[in-house]
Amino acid sequence: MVILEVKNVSYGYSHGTPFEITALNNVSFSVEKGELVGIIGHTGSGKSTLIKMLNSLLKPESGQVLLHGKDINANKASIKEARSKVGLCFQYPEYQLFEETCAKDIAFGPKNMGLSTEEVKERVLKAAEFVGFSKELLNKSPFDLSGGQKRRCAIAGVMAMFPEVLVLDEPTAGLDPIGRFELLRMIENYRKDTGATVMIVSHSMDDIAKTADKILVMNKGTLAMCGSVQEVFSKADTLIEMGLSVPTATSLISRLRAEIPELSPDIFTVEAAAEELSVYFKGRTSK
Amino acid sequence: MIKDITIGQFFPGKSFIHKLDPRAKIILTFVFIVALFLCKNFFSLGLLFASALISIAVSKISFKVILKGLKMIVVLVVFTGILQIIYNDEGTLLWKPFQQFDFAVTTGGIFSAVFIIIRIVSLILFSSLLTYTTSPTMLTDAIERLLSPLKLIKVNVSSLAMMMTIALRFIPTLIEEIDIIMSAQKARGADLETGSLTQRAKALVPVFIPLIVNSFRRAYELAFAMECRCYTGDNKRTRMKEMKLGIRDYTAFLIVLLLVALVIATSFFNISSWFIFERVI
Ligand SMILES: Nc1ncnc2c1ncn2[C@@H]1O[C@H](COP(=O)(O)OP(=O)(O)O)[C@@H](O)[C@H]1O
Ligand SMILES: [Mg+2]
Repeated sequence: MVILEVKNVSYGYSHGTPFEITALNNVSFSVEKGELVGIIGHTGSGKSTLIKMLNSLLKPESGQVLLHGKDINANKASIKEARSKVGLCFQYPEYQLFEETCAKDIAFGPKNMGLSTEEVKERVLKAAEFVGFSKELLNKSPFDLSGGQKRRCAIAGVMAMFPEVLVLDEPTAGLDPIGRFELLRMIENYRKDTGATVMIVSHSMDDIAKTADKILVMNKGTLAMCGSVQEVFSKADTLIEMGLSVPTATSLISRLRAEIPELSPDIFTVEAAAEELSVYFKGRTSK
Repeated sequence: MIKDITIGQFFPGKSFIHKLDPRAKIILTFVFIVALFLCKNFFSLGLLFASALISIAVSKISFKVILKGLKMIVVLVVFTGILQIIYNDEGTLLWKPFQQFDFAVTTGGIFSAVFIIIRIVSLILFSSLLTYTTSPTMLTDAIERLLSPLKLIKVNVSSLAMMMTIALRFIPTLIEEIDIIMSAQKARGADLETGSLTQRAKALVPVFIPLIVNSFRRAYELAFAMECRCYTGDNKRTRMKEMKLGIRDYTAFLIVLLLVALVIATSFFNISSWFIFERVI
């Protein structure tokens, strides 16, 4: 079932000044319910602009964004609905924390949705659970946390609204490998638990290859590719032309394939590469 | 949107005005502003207003941008105009709506309202032309140079200039940041646009707290970074780009000198009777 549909959306910034720029040019795609969509693209390719369209923070200059088949920019009510159903978490969300305690900050979103006090409390606890926050952390000031904890607190603030579509702009930027891994697992937990659709903007091809069902590739404001992990990452040359790359495992295997042509070209994660290589070497020793 | 504020913005270009020495531009703008306050009749005011328009045309800044900048002062202009009409009772009476009140529209009132409005608009045109055509760094550099005689009385001009540079440098950053934080809080359902004045003021708390916290963080980071590069405010610094007055600047000085001479002549000596325009103020 299609949950979100972007139809011929175009958008530009700074009209009428010398800095005028077309950030999105006739972008169309659709997202199935429960999918995990990865969005990749060079810096300035329009990824952040695109996700701001999804809950009407920016309105398309032409084209439409449909949520459950209805135009989200139709009227005030539809915008409000989109704001609560499509949860947007910006890049470096830790710089948007403001409350005295983490619990209060996480409660900001659900409160704005007009929920009862009990329900807000319940959601805060549930969201804290998704990001692995203890009671003790919840009562701390968000400004006293470490960078990674702040990030998780901010993401919990969006999860607490239980959006049907959770959109995250470079959620793992600036985190160490373990922090990155943990954060992706938390997002995965949220998805499993709520059946939500998730869209992640990322510069890490490895993360995208590991988690995504579908990949959108942005290039200079246009949607250059849209397809499965296999469809996208098998076009290494096109990606490199756009200033992107393929997952580390893929480039390793493709270099090995020069020597060992028997290896499969469709390897995108480290785990799959390890599996493929062990199968190959086992086969060789048994021969 | 907050991004639409154009006053104080810089539009890069290659026009005659862009290429003027920033010191010359500051002085000339200042001279024009003084002249605007000295001028006393429509002839000299018209002269100055026309030179503002011609300078804008020469600078190739689009009039759309200029109009956008003027939009911000519409209220001020209208308000001043109305006050002038109310308080000036000179000239012939045109309209007296209420017999019991001392309120009347007179020709003198209308003339002085138009005069003041043109004066304010010219003022804004000249000063915004300065910022539209000069990058903030050039501007502070020039101010530092112009103020450097103050060093003799132990004013730390370079620190002042550095403070100003930093302040100007961070205005766009802050605007961008406000934009991001507002978007983020809106995405969490914050309602920043509707409601009563107090409600809206309260709604801004989630925007301004992160903004202030981030500003302090940034200030610390910047201070550390500057210290790491051995910045101290007091030693004598040389610069990569030296400023030099050129033939262009002298030409500009000459033109403005002539203009100002005309303004003073027509405003203070009775030369105005040479022209059909009478003194207004
Ligand atoms: N608020 C803005 N004002 C003007 N230009 C902008 C603004 N936001 C983004 N842009 C421009 O739009 C283009 C797309 O930006 P963005 O969507 O942020 O790209 P990405 O997230 O892929 O790096 C860039 O060229 C950027 O400079
Ligand atoms: Mg971005």
